Amino acid sequence: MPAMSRTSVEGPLFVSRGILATACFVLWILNFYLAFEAGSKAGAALWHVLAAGLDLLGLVVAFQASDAATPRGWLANLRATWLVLAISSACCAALAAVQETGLALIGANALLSAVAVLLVSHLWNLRGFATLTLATAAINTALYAVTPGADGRTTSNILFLSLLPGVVGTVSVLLRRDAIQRKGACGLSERLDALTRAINAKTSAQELELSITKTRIDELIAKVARARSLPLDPAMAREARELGGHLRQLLLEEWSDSWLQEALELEGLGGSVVIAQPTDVVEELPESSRPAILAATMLMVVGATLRGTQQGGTAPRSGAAHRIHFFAEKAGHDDARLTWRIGGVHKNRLSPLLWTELDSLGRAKARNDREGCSIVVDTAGRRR
Amino acid sequence: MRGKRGVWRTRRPGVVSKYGTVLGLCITTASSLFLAAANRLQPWEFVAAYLVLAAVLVCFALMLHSDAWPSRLAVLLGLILLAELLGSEQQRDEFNPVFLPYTLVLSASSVLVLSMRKTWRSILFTFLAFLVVLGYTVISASAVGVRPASAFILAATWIITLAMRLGGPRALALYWGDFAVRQESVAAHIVAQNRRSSVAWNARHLHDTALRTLTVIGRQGAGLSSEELGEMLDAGASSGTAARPGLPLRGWTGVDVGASTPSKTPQPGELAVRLRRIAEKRARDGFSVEIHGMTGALAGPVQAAFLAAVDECILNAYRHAGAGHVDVLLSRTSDHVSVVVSDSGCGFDPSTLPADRLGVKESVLARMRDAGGRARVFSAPGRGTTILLEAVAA
Repeated sequence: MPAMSRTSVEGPLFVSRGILATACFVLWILNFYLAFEAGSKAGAALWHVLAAGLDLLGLVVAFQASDAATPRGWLANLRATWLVLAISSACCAALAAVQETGLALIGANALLSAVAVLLVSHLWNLRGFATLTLATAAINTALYAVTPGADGRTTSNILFLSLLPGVVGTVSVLLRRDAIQRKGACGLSERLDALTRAINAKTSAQELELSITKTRIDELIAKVARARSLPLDPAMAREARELGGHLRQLLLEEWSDSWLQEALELEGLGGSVVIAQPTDVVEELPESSRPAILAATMLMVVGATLRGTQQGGTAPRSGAAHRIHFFAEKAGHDDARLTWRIGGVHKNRLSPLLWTELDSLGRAKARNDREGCSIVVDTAGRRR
Repeated sequence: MRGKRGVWRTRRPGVVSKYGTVLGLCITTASSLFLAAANRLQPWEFVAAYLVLAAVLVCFALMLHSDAWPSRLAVLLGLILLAELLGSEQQRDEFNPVFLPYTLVLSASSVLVLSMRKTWRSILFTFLAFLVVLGYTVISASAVGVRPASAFILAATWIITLAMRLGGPRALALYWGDFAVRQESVAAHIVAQNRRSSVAWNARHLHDTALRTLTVIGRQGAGLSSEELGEMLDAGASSGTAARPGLPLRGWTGVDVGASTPSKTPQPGELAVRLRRIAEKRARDGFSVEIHGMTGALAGPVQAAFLAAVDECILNAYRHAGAGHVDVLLSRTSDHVSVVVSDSGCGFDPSTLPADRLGVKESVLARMRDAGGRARVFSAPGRGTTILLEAVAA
């Protein structure tokens, strides 16, 4: 089922980037305070200051790496930069560590690195997060293991503190994935039933009309079959033309301009999204990218609203939705450029999941202006 | 206790609070065991410490089911007692290797913040709890004459937990809200796709059957012999090409009047052969169709789409273009098959095709698209029409 594959353990991994950033900042303040005290008491202040500075720089990089609007192409570099800064900071802290500086400073530094891993891996996947956690824990522990006064107990303390946030983070991600799969399976079938019922109710009148037309066509054909002489009676020809026109009209009434419009109207969001004409390119978009385009559009419509109010886990309906303009155009030989214009919303107010969906389509570029924001994605492969 | 008014009123803790409690339970257990192993405890200290630890763990477990304040208070006092029993004077010094487990035992008290409600009484209770544990930490450090580094670590953990308490539930609600939207989008896409597929199939089916027949009747049977008309009507009476089951056009069997609807699963490798049969059937006085080239074996759905689309192109050329001859060229590269249908009739402007003309739009363009291929129309008034049909061969 598509929903299941789409709920894989990809970023965003954690529920709140804000909480992680707060935790990191508080730990940095604690770290700085302990380093300052240790430096003034036991010397080596330069290394302490350098370690604190590198930690702060690392936090800025981690914060940027966890920002959903950061281009995905930058993330690998940001993570590598953070790792280099974290190792440098740990080296400085280890160089500054003497018997007198104590465990508190070393532990706080290890804990800061371990929590920062959660922030820097926020948009990564579980495997990447676990790997980075292990790497950071191993490096921190190894560095502290060679500092003066280090013993087995100290080392195990540092290892415990370095691994604790990673273990907690991994467990929370796995538990949440389990919950998502359970809720997803249940919610999807319920929603499918509801939408199918709604669409059946909507089309019952057309079905009746088609049934009446069918009866009339059957009767006409029976009349023609009885006559069988050529040329056919002009009255029958006139009736056939009328029925043909009526049948065409009925078929056109059932027709919608685009698959996106149809899906949005099903969700009651048709009035909130304006799909620019012509819609040829929208129709040519490959099946594989359509779920992501629809999900992204719906997340844009309701995501910002959801962030403006406390909706308690339910999707708001069209009454409270923001207005979106969507335009698809040809780009290059077979590619398409998708543009969303979202009025009155800053890009940072949009759902992190939105960027995951956009990322699956191609490289997304977002830009804010006074009246809202625009998102452009160049996606590969129009349907041939 | 549930349902009683006043301070005894309780409720089940939220997800954030539960996770926090489990985390506090784990940290307390690990740190206590580490502390106990690091010290040489007197037997009574050993017994007392493990009894207190057991009591604290029970209270933590109770906190998973209810946020009643007695269990929280018991956890707070239990943790202080545990730190006092297990942490020696030396271990309260930040230079001691076992300083961190000692601090972590006290820091586990920060999970009390996660049960804090948005009432003054609850906020006051939590604040007082913080003051108690902070006061103990400062006093215990002062008593042994060391810097109260544990107090700073304790304060940091309480602040982080407070951030989780304030931001966690909202962040979780947003997370599930986004997830619900995404789930709805999946459902909407599936239903919309099914509906569009049904509508397209019906439009195509009716165009190729009922509308074709109505068009012939509307022209008083012009261009048909009595035998052909009879064959058409007889075929219609016994047609097996019903509308797709479960669709709005259930039971539309009577109107399929013998259009040359291709077999659903044609034999592979017979596209040219079958097209020649269609060409023979469509040829009549002054109108001829010639098939050139071969395509080799094709997948069933692709071949069916080619057959139906080419048939529609031939019929259009006969009915609308006024052409006397149609050429159909088949060719195949290693992975692509193309079919070109061309006539030298009156031509038309593809951009001005009326919306209700389903022939080119549905029976040719959409049909090829649904088969994974593509159709392109090249035409202009007075300059004939060429239709290029392409698809992947394998």
